Amino acid sequence: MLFSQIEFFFFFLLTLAVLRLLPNHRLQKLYLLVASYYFYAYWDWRFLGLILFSTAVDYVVGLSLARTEEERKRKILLLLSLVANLGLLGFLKYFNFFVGSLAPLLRTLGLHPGTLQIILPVGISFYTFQTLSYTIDVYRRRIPPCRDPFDFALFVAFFPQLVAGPIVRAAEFLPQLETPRQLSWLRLFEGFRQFVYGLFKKVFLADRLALFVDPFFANPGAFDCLTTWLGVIGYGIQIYCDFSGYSDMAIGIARTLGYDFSENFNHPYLATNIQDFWRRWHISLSTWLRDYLYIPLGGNRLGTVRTYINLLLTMLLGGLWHGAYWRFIVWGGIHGVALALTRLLAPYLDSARVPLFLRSLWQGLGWLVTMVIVAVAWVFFRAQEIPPPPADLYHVASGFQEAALILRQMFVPVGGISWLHPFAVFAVCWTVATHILAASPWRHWKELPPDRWYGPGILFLLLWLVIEFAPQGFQPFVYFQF
Amino acid sequence: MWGLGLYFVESLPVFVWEEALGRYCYAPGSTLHWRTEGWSSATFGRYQIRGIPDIATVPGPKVLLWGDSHVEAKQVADDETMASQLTRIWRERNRRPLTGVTVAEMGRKMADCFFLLPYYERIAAPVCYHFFILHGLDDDITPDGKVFVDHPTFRFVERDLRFTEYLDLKNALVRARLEFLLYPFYRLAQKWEKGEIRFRLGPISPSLPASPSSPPDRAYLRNAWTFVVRQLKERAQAPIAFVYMPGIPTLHHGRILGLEEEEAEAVANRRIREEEALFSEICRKEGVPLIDMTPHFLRRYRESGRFPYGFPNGLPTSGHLNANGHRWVAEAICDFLEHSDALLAD
Repeated sequence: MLFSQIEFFFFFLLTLAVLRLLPNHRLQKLYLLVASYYFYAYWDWRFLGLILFSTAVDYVVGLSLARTEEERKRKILLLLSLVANLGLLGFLKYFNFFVGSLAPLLRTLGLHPGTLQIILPVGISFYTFQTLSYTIDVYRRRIPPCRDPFDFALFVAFFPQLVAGPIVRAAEFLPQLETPRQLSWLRLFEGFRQFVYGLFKKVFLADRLALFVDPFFANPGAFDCLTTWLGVIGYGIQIYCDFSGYSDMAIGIARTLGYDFSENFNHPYLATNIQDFWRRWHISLSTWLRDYLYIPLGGNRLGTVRTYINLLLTMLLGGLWHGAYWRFIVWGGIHGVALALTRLLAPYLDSARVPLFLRSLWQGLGWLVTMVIVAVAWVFFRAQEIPPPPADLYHVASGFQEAALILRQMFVPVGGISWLHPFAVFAVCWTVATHILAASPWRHWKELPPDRWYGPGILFLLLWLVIEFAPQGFQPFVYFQF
Repeated sequence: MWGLGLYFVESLPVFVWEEALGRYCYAPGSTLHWRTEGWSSATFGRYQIRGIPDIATVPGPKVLLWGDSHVEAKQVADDETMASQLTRIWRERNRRPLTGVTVAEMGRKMADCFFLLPYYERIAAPVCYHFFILHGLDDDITPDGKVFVDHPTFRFVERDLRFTEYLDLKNALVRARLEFLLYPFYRLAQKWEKGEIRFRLGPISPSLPASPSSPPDRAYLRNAWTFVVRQLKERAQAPIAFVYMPGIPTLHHGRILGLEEEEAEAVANRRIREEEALFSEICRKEGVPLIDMTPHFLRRYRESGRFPYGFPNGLPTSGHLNANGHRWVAEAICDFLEHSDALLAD
């Protein structure tokens, strides 16, 4: 069930109504748990078992970790959680990828494993990381284990963020489950406000942009330089609006139900360097990778070379998290190299070294370079791999012909069809305007008040724009595939 | 909302009963704003004729252009349609008067044209030529050799109270440019009718795509097309001709289809090429002229780099005819008429 579906509207109204009527905090949470399982089973009831399995394993591991002080046993328990969760994720998401990629090597060893018809459960990448964050934090003694099985189950399966994030930490959410939530009209309005912003970004902007971006990427290299840049930037805006829109909807819904989650995006296209970009883009994932991968690998504590290796490895795995395709690994690799270079050149890039009158220009240059790197990385993220994956290791490079065609048209144009789609141009202008506003004294422009006529009026107008101009046909959330 | 709706929302037509045609037509004087593909306003006069307030008051011979949405052309302005351009180009080249008339509607089939022919010949008299504009050959001509099998959109609706009440309400909303209130309900109704609203748990069994029916064999096509060509020729008082518009040149996986050296490879589908040849042969045997726009479109693309189809807010090179495409068709029809015996009597 998607937030933009009419069915969700009825589901959510029913949920709000029932929560209002239930007298008891415990009953409210139970209802939310059942509703969350229904929400997930709406896609495929057969995969509820996987969520229940992850929930059961990590609940038991959490309690067991609290009961033992012996470091060896604690490590075994943590390993059990890691193997169970990552094993499931690895098999369901990456089995075919590794079999296909390593096929030549396996053949030399006399092995001929075939690929399997595996259905990737929706949201598995998200809830797996979420439960792992719990067991790791319990292991590190950062949080106490959750003793209530229903609270823990609700933490794992809470429907607003179940299938596409944000990845919510146990330290942030579990304490909120322990105290009764106050459902006030103000919270309802604030949640609805954020939900409508998200819906507008996802349906009005991202889905309509897809009508330009999809044909653009289906015809790589056919368009002229300006159109190619518009297509690539358009995709960057599409995926931003799609994903940040979904996050806004998830956070908004949670707020109406009485729960507060952290923001997942902070105007990433304002970033003046790649480090800054990752502090603004998919914040819940980047902080998860930092806390549970980069730092445990050693972070920046083991010398310069090791720091760069850790950065690159973290970003490569971060790319792989997005999907079992080489293009995501390349995308992660580009960001990893950029992060490493940023770190290497940090002393020279510091704007404090630049004369004051040149500082704005210097920051502008940094912004431009960052955006070009991000745009190039998006080309790999989006362009099709030919032949279709899983390509074996020997043919990976040849799979990026389409990306190469697009990059060539970006930097060494050779003519082509001009197609400046008016809505794409509008979306670029809208993104520029909202990002500039975010960096200006009017950054709180979105906090429409509930008690002034224009607050609900503007929200209603945005909602009408979504209903009136939603493209026909189904447009799934881009991040659903992860 | 109303202000945004005025400018950005596509308008819905107001329908009125037209006794002379025995069907519902757009109200005379309607202006329909088209936004999803192209950006234009299309005016319709009496009898749902594009750009001419009342065809009965226009003197001189007329050329009727029949077709579907490609000819109705809501995507382009009134003066950019092939009928308007035909009138203008003819006037620039010749001293004899001639008016191009659009007799087209979205989804119109040859069956519709057959039944409407006598009505429009009477209304638009004198008619010196009929041109049936075909975009592709599959869905425009599908009778099986004995009868028309497609349902003509006659609007032979039962004028019951419920329908007229609905129409009155809809017309009132449309006249006040409040059609933006109707679209959400239409979408919901559409979803409901298609069974797309679901509350039961998944997974849902994917509906298997209809097994591709094997293309009709040559004998079937020969019967079908011979039937429609003969029926139209017998039905019309004035001479008839067909104008065939191919789907090329078009963008396909990064390449422009239609530019290859070998004409046999110029289309993605060799079957289409064979059907084009068959239809051309039938027209020749029946003595009905056929204007094939394939060489025209390809030549124009090579000369100007422009495509006959597509708009900035749609898919480039595909979709409906743009102003260029309309002009090239009008020029081809003018060239044909200048050499045609049908106009010599004038």
